[in-house]
Amino acid sequence: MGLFELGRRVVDKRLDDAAAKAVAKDLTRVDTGLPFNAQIGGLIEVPRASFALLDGTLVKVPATAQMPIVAAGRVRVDGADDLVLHRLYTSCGYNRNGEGQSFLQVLRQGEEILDIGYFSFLCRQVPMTEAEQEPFLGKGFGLGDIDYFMREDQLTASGFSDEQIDALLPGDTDALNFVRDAPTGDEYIEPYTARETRLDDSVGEKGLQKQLHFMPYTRALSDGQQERLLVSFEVVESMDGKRAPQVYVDFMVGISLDRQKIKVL
Amino acid sequence: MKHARLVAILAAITLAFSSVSWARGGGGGGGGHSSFGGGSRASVSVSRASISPSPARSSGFGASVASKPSAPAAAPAQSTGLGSSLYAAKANTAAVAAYNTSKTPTPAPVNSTASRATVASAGTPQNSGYTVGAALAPAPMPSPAPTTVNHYTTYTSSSGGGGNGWLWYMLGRDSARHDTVVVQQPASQQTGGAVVYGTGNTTVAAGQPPVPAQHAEPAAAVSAPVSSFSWGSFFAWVLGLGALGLLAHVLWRNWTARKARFARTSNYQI
Repeated sequence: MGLFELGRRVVDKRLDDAAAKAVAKDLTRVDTGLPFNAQIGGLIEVPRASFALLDGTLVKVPATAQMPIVAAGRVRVDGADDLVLHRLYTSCGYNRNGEGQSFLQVLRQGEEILDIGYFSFLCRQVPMTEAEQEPFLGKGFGLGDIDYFMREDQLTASGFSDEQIDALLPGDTDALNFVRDAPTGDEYIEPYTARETRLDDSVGEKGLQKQLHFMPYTRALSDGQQERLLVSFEVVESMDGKRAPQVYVDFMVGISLDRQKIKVL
Repeated sequence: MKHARLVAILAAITLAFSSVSWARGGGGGGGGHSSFGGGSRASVSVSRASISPSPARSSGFGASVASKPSAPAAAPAQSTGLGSSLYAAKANTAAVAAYNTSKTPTPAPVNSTASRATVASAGTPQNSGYTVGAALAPAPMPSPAPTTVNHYTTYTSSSGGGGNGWLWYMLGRDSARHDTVVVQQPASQQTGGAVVYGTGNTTVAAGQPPVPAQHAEPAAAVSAPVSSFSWGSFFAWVLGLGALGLLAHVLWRNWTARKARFARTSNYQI
């Protein structure tokens, strides 16, 4: 390498550093206003004992008590402008497409925290025809029914072994019965519709935007605690600023967590 | 030969029926398949469904007919904070929408404005609409006479050429100070200051010898600066400035292209 080439490379590197610094000055974090003053890159500490003590649950215990916040989402529920629903993602799943994701969901009204739940991915369905998508779109049946029965087929699809399924469905039990999480006894209510914006980095360059049709369900465990099931029909509109249409149904299971036992570092 | 042809036809028919049954069986997934509600509703395939030999009922919504008992369910009233809040918000939205739908649009009262106008205008018959406002408007007050302030500036004239009182009045007026006032006295009286230039900074040329009228224009021509223009220096400047501009343009383009390599855009905000 000649002296001229060496000098050219040094100058080029210096100019690159200066350009990167100049660009970095223009960037501002957009992951602000999150609950617990959380930011992407921070850590969430959840009480693992709350998971371990559950009897007969589908929720898997997190691998570590402290999990990094890899993404943050805001769910805007239609017709509920006073409710602020945030999701602090500890995993965005394989290839950031949500399959395998887990998040801490915080519901606020103003500054008051109404509900906190930790959800992890259970399984995904892909409704490929219009007839298969109709049950999720508020047509009077399907998503929004008062009950959801999870049977052996879905447990198998969710990766549970035969022994685990036998433990979950002991004796003559045919299915796990989840009841719609709503203070009404109507046979059917329309699913909630919302739009979620997820930031996968602190400046909002990476992320996704999707429409949701979802309904929360709960199931009483044998020890009296509640297990949650979030059934969400999702239509991905864009990913990383580019159009990326995708339609699927995600089943997420979770539990409620005490606000006092959650730390964000 | 006939037997062979008959066997071939039977085999074809058998294969055709078997393919139909496979297709139907594929839709059911052999029991490892999730579907919603009753049998009349659409079915949804699980992406990672496995095939189980038992024809068990698939997962789904609704109070389906279960041959075997299911795990006990929680009472609907024990909803979580999430469920209660979402349901309350949705119920509120539905209630507002229902109220807005049921509320019949009442036509606006036609004589409301007129009645108010009648009361307010105390019997004026033609009161309606915006004309009432005009009728109720107070009578136009006579506008006060504009106040004129004259700023007289006192000038001390020390020369005999500024002894004209009317000239000093003109120079002293504030508005007149911005105008060029040229007072040229007759040639027979050009003994003192002959020409007075009255501008913002009024100076009176006094005591100067009179300039003959025929020498005025040649004097101006003589006082013009001598041009040192040359085409060579002009082109040198143009070339130099052009080269500098081109260099600056190339450097700027290089810098912006380098910055663009590191540029990040905010596609999403929460």
